[in-house]
Amino acid sequence: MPQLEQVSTFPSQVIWLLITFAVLYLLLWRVVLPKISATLENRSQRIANDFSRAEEIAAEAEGVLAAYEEELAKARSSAQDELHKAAEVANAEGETRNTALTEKLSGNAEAANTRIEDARKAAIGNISDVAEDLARQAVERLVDTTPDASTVNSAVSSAIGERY
Amino acid sequence: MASPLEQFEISPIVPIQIGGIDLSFTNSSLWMTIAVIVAGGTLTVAAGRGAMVPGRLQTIGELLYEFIAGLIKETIGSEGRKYFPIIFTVFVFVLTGNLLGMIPYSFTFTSHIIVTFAMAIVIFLAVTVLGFVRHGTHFFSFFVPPGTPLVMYPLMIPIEILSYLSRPISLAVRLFANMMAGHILLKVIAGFVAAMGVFGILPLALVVALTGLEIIIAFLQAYVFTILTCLYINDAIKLH
Repeated sequence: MPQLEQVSTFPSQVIWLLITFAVLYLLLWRVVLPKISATLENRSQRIANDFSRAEEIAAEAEGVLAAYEEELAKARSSAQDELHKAAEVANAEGETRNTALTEKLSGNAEAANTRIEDARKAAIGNISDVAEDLARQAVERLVDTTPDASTVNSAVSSAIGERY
Repeated sequence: MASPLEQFEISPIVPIQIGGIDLSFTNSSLWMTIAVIVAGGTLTVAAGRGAMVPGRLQTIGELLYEFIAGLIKETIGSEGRKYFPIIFTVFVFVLTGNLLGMIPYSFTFTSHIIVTFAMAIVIFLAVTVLGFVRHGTHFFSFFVPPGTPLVMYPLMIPIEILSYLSRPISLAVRLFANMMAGHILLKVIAGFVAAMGVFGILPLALVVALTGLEIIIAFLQAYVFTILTCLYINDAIKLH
């Protein structure tokens, strides 16, 4: 078995073991392991940071949502108030306009009635003039005398008075 | 046909003599150097960029790191942190030596008792010194299991001392014997492939299966060597 027979190679094997092992140890200890450790540290820190930031943002979003909802509720109630106020104003306005219109209309109707009355009276006056004229001419043709104006007038006005 | 033991022979590549001692750069030294270059190079590249999202190689480096860190945390606890670099190096060195040995025509330096014993005795001495530094002469209480009746002391103390002294031997022999046995087995069965002609397919299939097994053993023995180192350190720190 060479492992036990080649005793003369033992110092060489041990010294090269020490040299190579020491080189590997120094490399891993000084270069590789600190780097890997730093990388792992950074990563876990980054993950923790990201988590806490995500939590912060979630809380912030919740706050924003609450504020939004509050704002919305406020806006809704104020809109309701506005609406109520506007309706009241409109009602009042409608009322006043209604009364004004009613007054105006009734005034108009009265004026129209007066005008109709006047027109009727004027018309009746005209009719009596025409009727007097007609009566006088008819009398002239029938009996060939000019009747007295006051007689015709009283006869026509009594006849019209009977009718109207 | 070559002997199955031929693969373990040490042959000098660069003869070096210092003070009459042969310190030649041999095939064993060459594969130790290759192991350092492969392991150190791979891990340096793996650690290199330190990307937030690791690539394949970086993931291997980080898995290895966390594997050994977890091992130390389980066996020694938080006090084991300062031994992390040396334990990590032991694992990587042994593992790389075992795995490089699986390459055909390579040399397995962990299949040599002097190499494994050198590592084991250094670990043993370092752990013993650590025990005395931490506990002074109180470290001797380690050889008396708690609850031992006084009459048993003359029996228990020699047994415990013997068991303690055999630690480096068992640590060294376990690794060396596993690696050597596996490689001899592979070589012997591979020898049947040519000898059996057409039926050589059977030993060939066996060699393929055994190669897989040997790769598992390469990992397993590196793990066992490392975990025992951790346990010895733990014993030295906490006694019982």
